[in-house]
Amino acid sequence: MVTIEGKWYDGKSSVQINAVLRFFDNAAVRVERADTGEILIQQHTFNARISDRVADTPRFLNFPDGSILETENNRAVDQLLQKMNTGGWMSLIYLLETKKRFIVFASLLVILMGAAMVTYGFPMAAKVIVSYLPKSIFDTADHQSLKTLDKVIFRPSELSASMEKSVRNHLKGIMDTHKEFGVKLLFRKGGRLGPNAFALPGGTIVFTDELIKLAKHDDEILAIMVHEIGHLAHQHAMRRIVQDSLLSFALLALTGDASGVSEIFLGLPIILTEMAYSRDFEREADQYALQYMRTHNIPLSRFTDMLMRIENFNAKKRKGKKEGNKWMDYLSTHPSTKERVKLFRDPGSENN
Amino acid sequence: MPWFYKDGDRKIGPISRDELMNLIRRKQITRKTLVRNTKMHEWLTLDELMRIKSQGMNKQPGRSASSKTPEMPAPKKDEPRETPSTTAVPLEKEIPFQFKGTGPEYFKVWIVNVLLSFLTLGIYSAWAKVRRKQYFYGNTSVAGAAFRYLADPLKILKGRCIVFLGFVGYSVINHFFPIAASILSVGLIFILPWLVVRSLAFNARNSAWRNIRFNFTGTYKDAGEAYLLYSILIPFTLGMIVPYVLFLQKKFVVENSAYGTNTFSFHATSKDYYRIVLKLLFLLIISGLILGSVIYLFPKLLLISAFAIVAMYLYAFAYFSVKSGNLLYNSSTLLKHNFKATMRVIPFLKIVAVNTIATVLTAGLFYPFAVVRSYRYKLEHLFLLPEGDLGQFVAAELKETSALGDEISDFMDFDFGL
Repeated sequence: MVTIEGKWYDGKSSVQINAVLRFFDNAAVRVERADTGEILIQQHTFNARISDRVADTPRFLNFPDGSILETENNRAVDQLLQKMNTGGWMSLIYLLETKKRFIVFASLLVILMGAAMVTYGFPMAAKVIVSYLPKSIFDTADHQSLKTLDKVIFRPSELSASMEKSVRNHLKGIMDTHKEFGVKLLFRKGGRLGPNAFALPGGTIVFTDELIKLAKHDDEILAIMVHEIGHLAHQHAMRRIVQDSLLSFALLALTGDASGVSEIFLGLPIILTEMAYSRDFEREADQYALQYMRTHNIPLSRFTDMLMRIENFNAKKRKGKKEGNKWMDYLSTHPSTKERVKLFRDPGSENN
Repeated sequence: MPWFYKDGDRKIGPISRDELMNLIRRKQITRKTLVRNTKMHEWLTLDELMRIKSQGMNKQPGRSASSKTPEMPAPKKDEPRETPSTTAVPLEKEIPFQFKGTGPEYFKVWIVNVLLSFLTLGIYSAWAKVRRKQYFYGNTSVAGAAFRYLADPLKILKGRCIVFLGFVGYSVINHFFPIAASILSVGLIFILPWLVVRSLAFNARNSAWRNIRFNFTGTYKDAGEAYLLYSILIPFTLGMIVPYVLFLQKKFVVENSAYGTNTFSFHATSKDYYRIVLKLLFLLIISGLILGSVIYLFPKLLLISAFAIVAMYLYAFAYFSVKSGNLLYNSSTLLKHNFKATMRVIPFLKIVAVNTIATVLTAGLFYPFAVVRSYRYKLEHLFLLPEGDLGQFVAAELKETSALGDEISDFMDFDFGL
């Protein structure tokens, strides 16, 4: 005989009754009040749906008349299930949850799969998805992001007409050879962004006045242009959007609920990963620039000189703030200038 | 029933009736002190309250039945059978909610959920959701009975499939007819009230305590008012009605929730929400000003300032969760039973901060521990203040609800927050 103590609820009211279930060896069952012994349920053969075991939470024995027995005595309930030979496949899940070795194995597997997804899965998926997107989306994206940037950061360019013309003339060749990307060149005053250049999803490339003024040679601007065209060739801007949304979506699915606190938990890892994606894109664009400059016999120093100058310019603006904090790399959208310059000075190491 | 009293301008409480009596005995509350309980509509001095009491037939404070007393709303017709022994039942001061779950234990449930969902390409996620809910419900108990989550995983799976197909369909339409898709997405806003009601109803009807299910009876019209109509007005009022909208939404949720045949009542006012939001704004502006001037004076401290901004964000989150959470529970009543929530900002902030840092450092593996930590804090500061017998609730006839609304809102990242 198995006896299980618990609380009995008739399902019609919330009255709580201390009760004892007695399971006899002939499979008959009786539930009686703990205090008076009054019989609440009597069955010749045990007939109740038993809730699945989840950790050590109470079990609920559902009787056909709608009443339940709630008990914390999981061991006795499991004993009873064993006698009835009705475990159900959910009891298998509980078994997995309680096997230490399986938990370790599952954790490792999840970490591995997660890492593989983040490093290979999402970038690959994004590439495929982006290749299916209609052109109208790229154009809208360009239009929208430029509108926002113009409103929030950019001011109209203050370059002289002759200067703009000479830059355009110098870049005409490379723009003509990359017609398939729909390259459109714009100039803006960058304000607090300083010397910088951007490639928007649909082919718009924006140079800031500050960058043009900082350049000491037209080929330096050309080098930056090739880098930006590299972003276009690899469709980086759109891939970034898709990759980032895949990432947020996956993390949301993983953590199960979307409520409250979890959002801040998730914000930071998402940002860190997005930054890592962004650095990968920069490296790809750098590679693109490197190839182009080599085949067109442009000295590689044009690119590195320009990078160093931008770095120095920004450093001066920050007034001697310590640079090269190793861990700051993780918070950066670009690889460190040191790393990027190294690629161009020592192209043999490009493939690592 | 929770009582409050005023010390100068400071509102103190909630305190129980016994605590109130104690304070009166110790002369900390005098005849001139303003007091109120959650059923009263205004503050009264103890003197006034006593006078009203003596006119009433019942001598017990908070139970006056005189027609002029502001304390008790007229009893509803469908009030369940009176227990014969109301006065004889010993009043337990407050019954704490209990949570027995632990981080390591939930980690096991969670990691198996994640792995199986992954391996079955998401199909198992419906069962995973039920298991997660069952873990938290089952470990939560009050007055000797645990909560129970009863949703059928197959229904959830069906809901998830429809959501998934809808998403694919939308993407296809977006691909070929971008304009039709944008019209469609505007139209989607108008299913929000439906979503809110379906989601709350699904959740409530699949939650039970003592073998009696909860229920949700809100109408689409009221949901539309609370979640759409007033929200549209937010930009036109420069956000000034945000606290009012919050109040309306909470009121809608609480007053349409029921346990068995008894609906909850809600007696917070929009003023309470304005107080919370304005105080938070004030704190943020002050700390923003301080931070701004620090950055201006010491630009070298930029990195530290960045951390300060994250800290401010966490503080704002903790402040709002704690204050609005406390207000919600302290202002909700079920029959004559009240709730008391005593969360505090700084301890909760510590939990949230540790959770955030640890979750980041472990690339998400700390997440199940984090959830348990903040859930436990909330539960351990929640009390039931029973007023009479807890056995007098009666089950209601419930309609079956589909999981679709709940799944769409899960998918769309909505949180109706309770």
